[in-house]
Formats: sequence, structure tokens, C-alpha cells
Amino acid sequence: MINEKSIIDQVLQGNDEAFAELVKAYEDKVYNLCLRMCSDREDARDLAQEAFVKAWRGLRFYKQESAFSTWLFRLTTNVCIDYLRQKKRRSAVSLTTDDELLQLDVPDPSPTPEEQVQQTMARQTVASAMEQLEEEFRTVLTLRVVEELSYEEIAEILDLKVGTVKSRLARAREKIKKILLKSGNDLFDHSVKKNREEDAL
Amino acid sequence: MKCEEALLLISGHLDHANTIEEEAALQAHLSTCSACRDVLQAFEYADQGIADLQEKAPEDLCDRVMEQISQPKKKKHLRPWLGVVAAALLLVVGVSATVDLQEENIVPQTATVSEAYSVQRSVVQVDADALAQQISRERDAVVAVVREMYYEIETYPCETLEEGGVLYALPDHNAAVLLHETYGCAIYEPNENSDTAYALLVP
Repeated sequence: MINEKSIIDQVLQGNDEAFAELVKAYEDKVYNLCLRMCSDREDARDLAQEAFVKAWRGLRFYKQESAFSTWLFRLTTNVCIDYLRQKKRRSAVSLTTDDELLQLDVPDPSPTPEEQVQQTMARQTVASAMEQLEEEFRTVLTLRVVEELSYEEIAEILDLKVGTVKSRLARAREKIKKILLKSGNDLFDHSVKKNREEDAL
Repeated sequence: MKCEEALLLISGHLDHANTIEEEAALQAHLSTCSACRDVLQAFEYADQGIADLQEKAPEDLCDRVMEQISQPKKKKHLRPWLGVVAAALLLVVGVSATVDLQEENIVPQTATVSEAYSVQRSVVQVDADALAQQISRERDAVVAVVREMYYEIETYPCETLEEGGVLYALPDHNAAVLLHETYGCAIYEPNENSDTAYALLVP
């Protein structure tokens, strides 16, 4: 665990190089937040870069009463939302088409070809379902499930009440469940059926 | 418990956010409702699927960030429409020419554009700058003039001024200097020792 406060102090005193340690500590989290928000690797890289540069510029404005990560995620979320709104203004066309789906790598190194295809399809279906969620639901689900933030942290990042975070998460899960079912996700059906069978036994 | 109520608690269960009482009520409901058990399994599946989508950040991300922040800071932050005007002006007079927007002896074909630019610029700036100077004097504070909302200032306490504009109370003198260095905002300071600072946001 890096000593964030000490690094932030160093950066504020003009040591820009120290900022690299903060980038390294948070790059995966910031990048994944951007990736889930915009669904495109190249855009996610650019947005993550923009978020870090803004964080560096605005570090003096970081009031240390909240965690640095909360401040950084708030800033990153705003960068992503700004981008999505600009993109929406530029094009009224739906964001999702089959051609635009991410080509997702399979994390498991040794599946059979058949399993590999199945895993890739499942991942693509989930990624596509996330992309189809409205921005407000996608944001809250990403902050909770990908970034594993508490309701309180999410409330601070999104300027919401904790109760709203809780209800919005439930609605987001209900929505993504419907999208997945609609997409005819075999694994999803299988998972539910399997558990039903287990319950019956 | 109705299934609608259970939905909220199923989601809370996955986040370990339910109280002991809520969790007990949920478990009691789940033991008698197979539909909600399916919902729980489906939510778990979706959560796992989303979590599994995580990837490593691109290897060059850190280098790109460090390269960008090591570049010289922008001296001036034009509003988008001014940028377009300035770009048009540069195209007309040539990139290598020294463009002085306040000069009167600009080549004839650029006169209209440059006049428009100068007039707009002076109308916006004179009022805001005079106001900033006045606030700086009256409150013995450093005042940065900002022309658009920057995320850095939005969380600070603000007051709407009768003269127009919104005044944000900044944490210290350096914050105003940073706005100047980052965005090229004009700053007014009665003396270097003043640690009261504001950002004046003008339309």
C-alpha cells in the first residue's frame, strides 16, 4: 500500500514524477471504470488518461476530508459522463450494434475451444447488456460491482442519498437481468435452471 | 413480504448491505418463494459476469499521462467559439504571421473577424475584470476570473452576485494561482500575502 498522502504532498510541492505512483496504483480501477462506461478500449484509455491529467491539475483542490480514491472516481465518472453526453449529442444513433461489441479476450488460459467460444460469447453478452443499460444504472452498477465501493462512497461520488444508491442498484440489477434474459443467454438460463433443480432435490 | 420488497433486499444481500432484521426477513421469504430464489441466482450470475469483464489497464497508460503532464502548460484557454474564430483568423493571415488581435492595421480581409473578436472580447472582459478588481480590493482577496465552469471549483461554497456572476470561495491563494496556470485565467490580487481567494465565474 503506497502512502498516498506523502505522494500527494510531493506532487503539490512540484515533484511531478511522484504522480506516476498514484497513476500506477489506480490505473486498473480508473481504466475499468472508463471501459464499462464507454465500452470501447481506445476511448477508455483516452478517458482514463484525461481523468489522471485532470487529477494532477486539480490535486490542489482535493480536500483531504474524503478518500483520494473517492475524489478520483468522482472525477473519472464526471469525465466519462461528459464524454457520453457529448457523444450522444454528436450522434442520435443507438450506441449499441453487434459490430461495435468488444472483442473480449478469454481470461482462462486452458479451456477447450468449445468452452472458449462459450466463455467469449457469455462475456460479450454481459458487456453488451451493460452497454444497453441507461447511463445512471450503468454507473452505479460499475461503481459497486467493478470498483467494489460502499453505498456511502457511491453516494458521495454521484451526489446521491445512500437510500437512492440502494434502490438504484436493485433497479439496475433487475434491468440487466431482463436484458440478459431477452438476449437468450444460454448460460444465464442454465444457471437459473440448475439452481432450480438443486432446490428441488 | 411481497416479491417487490424482496427485490431491494436481494440486491442489498449481494452487497452485504442489509441489516440483521432485513436479512432474516429476506431468508424467510426466500425459503417460500422460488421466483425470488431465481432472481437471487440471476443477480449473482450478472454480478459475476460484470466483475469478470475487468481487464488490465493498457501498458502505456502511465507513460502517456506522465508525458502529457510534463508538457508546458496551456497559457490561454479560449472558449470554443473563440477558438473557431481564432483558427479562422490564423487560416486567413497565415500560420507563421504574428497575430495581434488588438492591432488596427490587420489585413483588410480579416478585419471583420478580428473586429468581431475584439469587440466580443472587450465587452466580456471589461465588466468581469472590473468586477474582479472591485471584489479583490473590497475583500482584500485574490480573485481569478473564470469563463466556464471547471470541475475544480464546483464543490466550493458560492454566492451569486447582484452584479452578475457567481463567486466561489477557494481554499487558498495557490488555488487561484493554479487556475491561472492551468487555464490562463486572469487573476487580481491586492497583495501577495492575502490568503482569501475566490473564483469569479462570469457568463
